[in-house]
Amino acid sequence: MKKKIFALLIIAAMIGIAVTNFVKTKVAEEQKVDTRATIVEDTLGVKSGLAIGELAPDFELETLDGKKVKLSDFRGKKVILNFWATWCPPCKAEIPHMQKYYEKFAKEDNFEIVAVNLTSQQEKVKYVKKFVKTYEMTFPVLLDTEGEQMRTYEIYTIPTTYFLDTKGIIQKKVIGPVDQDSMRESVKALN
Amino acid sequence: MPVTEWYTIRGVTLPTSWVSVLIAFTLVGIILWWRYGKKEASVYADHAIFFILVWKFSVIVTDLSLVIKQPLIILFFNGGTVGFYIAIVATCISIFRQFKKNAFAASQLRTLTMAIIIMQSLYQIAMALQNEGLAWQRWLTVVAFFIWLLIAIKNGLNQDIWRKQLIILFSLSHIFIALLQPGGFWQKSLMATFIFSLFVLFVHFSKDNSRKQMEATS
Repeated sequence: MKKKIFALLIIAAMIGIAVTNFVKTKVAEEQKVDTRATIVEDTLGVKSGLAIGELAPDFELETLDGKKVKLSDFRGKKVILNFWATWCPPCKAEIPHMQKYYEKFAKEDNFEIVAVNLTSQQEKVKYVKKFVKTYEMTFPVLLDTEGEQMRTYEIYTIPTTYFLDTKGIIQKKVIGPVDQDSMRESVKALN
Repeated sequence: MPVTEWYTIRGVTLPTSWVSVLIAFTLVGIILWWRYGKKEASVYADHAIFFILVWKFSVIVTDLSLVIKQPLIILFFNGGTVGFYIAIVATCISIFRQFKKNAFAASQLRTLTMAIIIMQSLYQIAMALQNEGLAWQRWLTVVAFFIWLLIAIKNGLNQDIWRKQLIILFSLSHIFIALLQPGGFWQKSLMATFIFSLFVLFVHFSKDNSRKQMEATS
């Protein structure tokens, strides 16, 4: 390629990049709206189900301390709804990542982890307590002692994770372990 | 293009970025085999596998404390974003050592430059076709990188000057397209283009230097 043509192409590309960047910044500034006003409990009419865009079925389960917690208690926060068991190797690999992400960014990213233990599946509460202590888990661990939520959420493989937006609507389902980076990427994409 | 779609295959969920990387890796290997034969393609394949292995096991470096706590992490996770950059740098070092050993053979420089442009173009096209975004953003990505794909394959990148000029123009056009994509400037793929483009220029610079040294000694 001739030097003159090459130089012209470089200049054209630089001008293009500068103009695009300028226009994009201006448009982004104009489009900025106050999102606080849109975070309204507006789930009326949204169908409850497991598909993307449907309202995650609500439930009430006990924590390890015997406290009753509802999924809908977390409305207004993004929720990582994780199904796990102490005997599942990928869960063991995933939980330190979850804990690290939770410790670092729970406030900044406005999310909560709701870890539903499949207590009905060859699990004992004392093992769960020991596991939670060993892994220093600080997010809520709920016990699905009857296996009802396992059936409702159609959990065939663990870990399975649902990502819910601030209205409790399912935005993503991931089967298999998720690391910190992917968790953060998924949470950031939620409304 | 950011990942908006995931595939669930039996018990595993894969992001479209992984699928796109696999498509790109495979097609680049086939194109290099078709253009330059088995030897060049196998050199490329060695480096591609090296890149994947380093990325995978870089989790030992990036999450050492977690790995000590739970060694199973090595089996299930990779080094994430930091691991990705470690893998790129490690691959560049590995390629450079091999090039130096072979006295910066022109054929290898040609294959390297072509592999980078084709790899990135195929990845971008695959991502644009699989993920959500505005129609014009997706089509811009597909058309622009398809043009680059044709330029790289048709030109053959046989001359030093072509390789240097095209890799610079490729980087600039990637910045331009990235700014128009939903992910904007701070995309891993754009950073990969930057690092690899600088590497291509550095290799050419080293080649020129070693040639000058040889001429001076003879």
